Amino acid sequence: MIVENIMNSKVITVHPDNSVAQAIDLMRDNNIRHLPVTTEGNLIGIISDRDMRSVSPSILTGDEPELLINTKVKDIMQKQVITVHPLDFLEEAARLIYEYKVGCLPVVSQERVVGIITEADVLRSMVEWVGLLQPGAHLELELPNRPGMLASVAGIVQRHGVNIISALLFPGKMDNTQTLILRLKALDIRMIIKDIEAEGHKVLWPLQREPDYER
Amino acid sequence: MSGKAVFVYHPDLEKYYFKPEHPFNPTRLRITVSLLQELGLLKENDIVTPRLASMEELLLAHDQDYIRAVEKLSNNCFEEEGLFFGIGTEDNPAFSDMHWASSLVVGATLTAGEEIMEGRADHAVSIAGGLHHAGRRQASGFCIYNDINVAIRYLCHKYHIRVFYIDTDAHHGDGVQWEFYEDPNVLTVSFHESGRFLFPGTGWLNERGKKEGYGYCVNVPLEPFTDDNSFLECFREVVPPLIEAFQPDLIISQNGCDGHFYDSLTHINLSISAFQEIPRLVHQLAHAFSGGKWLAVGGGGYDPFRVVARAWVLLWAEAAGLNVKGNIPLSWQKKWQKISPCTVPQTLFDSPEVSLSVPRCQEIAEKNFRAASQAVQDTLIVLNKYI
Ligand SMILES: [Zn+2]
Repeated sequence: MIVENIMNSKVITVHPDNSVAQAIDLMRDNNIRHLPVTTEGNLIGIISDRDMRSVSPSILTGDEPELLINTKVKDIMQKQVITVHPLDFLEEAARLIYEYKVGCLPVVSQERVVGIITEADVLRSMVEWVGLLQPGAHLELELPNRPGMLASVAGIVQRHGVNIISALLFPGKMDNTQTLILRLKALDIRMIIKDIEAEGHKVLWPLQREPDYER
Repeated sequence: MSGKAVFVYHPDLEKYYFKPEHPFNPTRLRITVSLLQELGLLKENDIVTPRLASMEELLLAHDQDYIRAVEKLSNNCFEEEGLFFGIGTEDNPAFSDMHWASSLVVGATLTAGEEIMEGRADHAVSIAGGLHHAGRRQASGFCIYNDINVAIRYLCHKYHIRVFYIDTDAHHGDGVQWEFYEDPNVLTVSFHESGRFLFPGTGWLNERGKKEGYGYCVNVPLEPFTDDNSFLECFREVVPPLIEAFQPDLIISQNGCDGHFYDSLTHINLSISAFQEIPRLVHQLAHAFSGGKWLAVGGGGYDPFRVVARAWVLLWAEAAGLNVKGNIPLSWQKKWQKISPCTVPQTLFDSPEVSLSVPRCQEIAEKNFRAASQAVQDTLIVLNKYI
């Protein structure tokens, strides 16, 4: 998945010589929290609702309209902007947002702003990735950290003719394990679980019932 | 408090049968009827024969190409194209006469609805119905056609009514929810094991309906190992105030009983008593708010001998206003022990000795109750604004 596929290409920008009051109106009218600052399409900074709050603590009360009108965007904008390229992977965008604690990333190609991608866009795509919007059952396994384990599990699922909606494999709690989360297109996954356990893998979820029901 | 009740049934409904070893086994219908008869709770004139749903009726809640595919797969179960519609999987294998049998299930629920709306009965029970996972063009979770969706669409259209739908199957009633997601005339409430743990993985608190229908969809996701007390506490917190505010013309309840502790497909820990108490509450609410009009359908339930038969006997007894005694006739035990993989029960209720030691039971109840309170809040605001 590349940034281009999930970015918003209708970007609302602001000119460095616009007033902070104008920037506030733009954000409010479009229900957004960041504005790339551009001159003729070239990115020179970014301004967020946070930046504005810091310049005028009483913005909400509207006590200082003078200040808001007289302060220009270029006076308070962030000049160091973290950006991504349309062909970057989504993971790269997620990593930048996470590491630099920013709410959004302008997407820049050949010096021009061609899109914008926000924290929420990244989260939404991840939710779609994990397949949370399709009916399915959740299966969580702990596998030995060695080659062939995913194939072994996938083989079992395949033998049951069940479709895998999504699969997530990541390092487990211990060095010698991996955790595998599968979303399966099936209501009844008991037989799959049985076969996976017979293969010697540990099923973390669903929890197997304690056998103390029938006394 | 009671009204006239009818039981919509015909042995042909047992033809909704995927294959041997499949958990959704129509034996559960036969043994339920058998237990009702042995207990003397079901008389010949209580029973109404279901009609077949027509193509036109199916089209109210399904796409034409989907129905065509189901028809085609009924004759040749090995068509590849089924997979596109969710048929031919281990959950939903094609079977011969699938279209006919599924149409009869839909017809049974339609018949039940008509008995009520035409004034021939106050309550109608269609235990073969309750196929709440099927989508417009998707078989899912053992459900081919969604009898509930077709019936609601049909009844709303024909009688201009507003419907309150309560789903207490352990699985989220996703098919019904999505069909009426934007419709303020149908309020859907589903109690189910949280999607974190169980198919279909939806039914979150924040699924509340859309557009006109915002607020008219309520979900109460429950923790694994939820017991009777917690379940009923949540039910009482949510359902009565919503019904009172919504003032429905008809209440439809889906009575899946796979939340019983014997059911191996889910992790909810209800006892048989819960399956008496739930219909009892619905019954009372119907008399208080919908002129007695109550349509009850079946649903999930994968332990036929120890759970389904007993749960649905209690459902019918409640609808028909009949008292039930504690023992299961020996004749029934003898007859069915032959094909039961486990010891068939001797009593209608679970003995208290089969108590379940559930760790963190208090925490579970707390978490469930918080979900229930949140679930009901927003909808009450919406309902009180418009009514
Ligand atoms: Zn179910």
